[in-house]
Amino acid sequence: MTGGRAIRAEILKLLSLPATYFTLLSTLAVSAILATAFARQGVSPVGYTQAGFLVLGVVAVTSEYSGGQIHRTLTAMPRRITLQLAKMTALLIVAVPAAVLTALAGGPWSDVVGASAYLALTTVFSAAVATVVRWSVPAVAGLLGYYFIAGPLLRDRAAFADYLPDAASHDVRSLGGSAVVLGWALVAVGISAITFHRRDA
Amino acid sequence: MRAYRGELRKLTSLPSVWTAVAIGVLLPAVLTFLNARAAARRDGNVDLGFQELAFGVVGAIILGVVAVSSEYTTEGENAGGGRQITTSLTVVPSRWRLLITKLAAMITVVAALATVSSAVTLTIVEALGVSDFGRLPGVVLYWVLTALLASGLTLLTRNGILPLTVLILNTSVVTVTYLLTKLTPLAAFFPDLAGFRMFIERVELPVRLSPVTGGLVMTAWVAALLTAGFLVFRGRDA
Repeated sequence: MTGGRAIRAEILKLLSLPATYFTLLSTLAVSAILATAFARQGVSPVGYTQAGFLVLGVVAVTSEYSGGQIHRTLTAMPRRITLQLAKMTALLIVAVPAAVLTALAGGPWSDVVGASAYLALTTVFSAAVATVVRWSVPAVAGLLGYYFIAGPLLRDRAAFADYLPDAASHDVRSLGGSAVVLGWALVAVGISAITFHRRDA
Repeated sequence: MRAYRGELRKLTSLPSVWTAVAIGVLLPAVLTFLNARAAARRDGNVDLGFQELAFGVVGAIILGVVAVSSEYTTEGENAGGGRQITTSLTVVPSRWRLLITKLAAMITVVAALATVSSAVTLTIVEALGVSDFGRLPGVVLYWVLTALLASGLTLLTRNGILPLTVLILNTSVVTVTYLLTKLTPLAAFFPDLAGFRMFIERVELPVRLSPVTGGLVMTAWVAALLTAGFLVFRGRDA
């Protein structure tokens, strides 16, 4: 099985999950509502809608582990590094259009490119974290706790917070922030691929 | 009583619960420690320690969600693809009793967690000489009610992801409910904003509530959600 077919299979699996549609549609709706409601306060909804993309990344991975689907997946595609990279690529392919739509719904439109890149990379990052954790509830709790509580609180108090994975969430136009997120996503995918390769399913 | 002990054992056997306990104790303590110096420079903040305990409630949220959602997790093909709830209902067939004992066990753990966490955090504040242990019951009540709210929501969804997302998102530094108060003063009656009044003194919200009224408003929300949760739990197939 080649990489292309593995990616195709992963996209099919991802698009067959009801949770994918539920997460994406509710994220889009919340983004549009927040943007309309708080346009005057100057609140950017990206800070809140990233929750939907975090959940998407987690669900895409943990759905493999909740019923034992992972055994079938590994029977069909025993090359684990390729499988993990195909999964991440498939997720990126699905997340990019969703991120663009959400960023458009959320406005302001000048930030669309930065915001969509940030949201898509955050999805991949959370999927990599979920691969290591393997259970949806701890992965969701940990990621949300970091992105919504620890991250924002660290930002005001520590200089190193500019180099953390959520750095670009409050200023999506800064290219430096996007580079930081890209770096974290690559590192996380690398670690997740190695973990997945070395571990019993 | 035996059902209660069983629920307590189930709860304390979950790794997620111990993680939640660690988060609940460490998060407010570390935050208070980090904030203490800045607050001392600005000569005093009446809510130092208590604001941080409002963030630490995320430990209670996880506990409340996991107590219910763990029953519905598929255990995988090695365990016959079953869910714990079928076993629980075989052992305690009365749904009313199962739910009451489960919530009682959860309240016990959350109340203990909230007491320990507040004691640790307020001791740090005490060292700075601005502590107020009189507000401690407010914190414990707020954590317990939040955990019950999380359980009620999870009873409706049977899956932890949605309640966790909604509730953790709304514990963030600028909460969605707080933003809503800018649109309508009625938003001040949301359970989290009403519950804060039980232990936070300085609040900038359009509606003034006394600590007791705030507590009652939050209790009303919890009662409504738990009633809905119980009715759904009683009415449907496990």
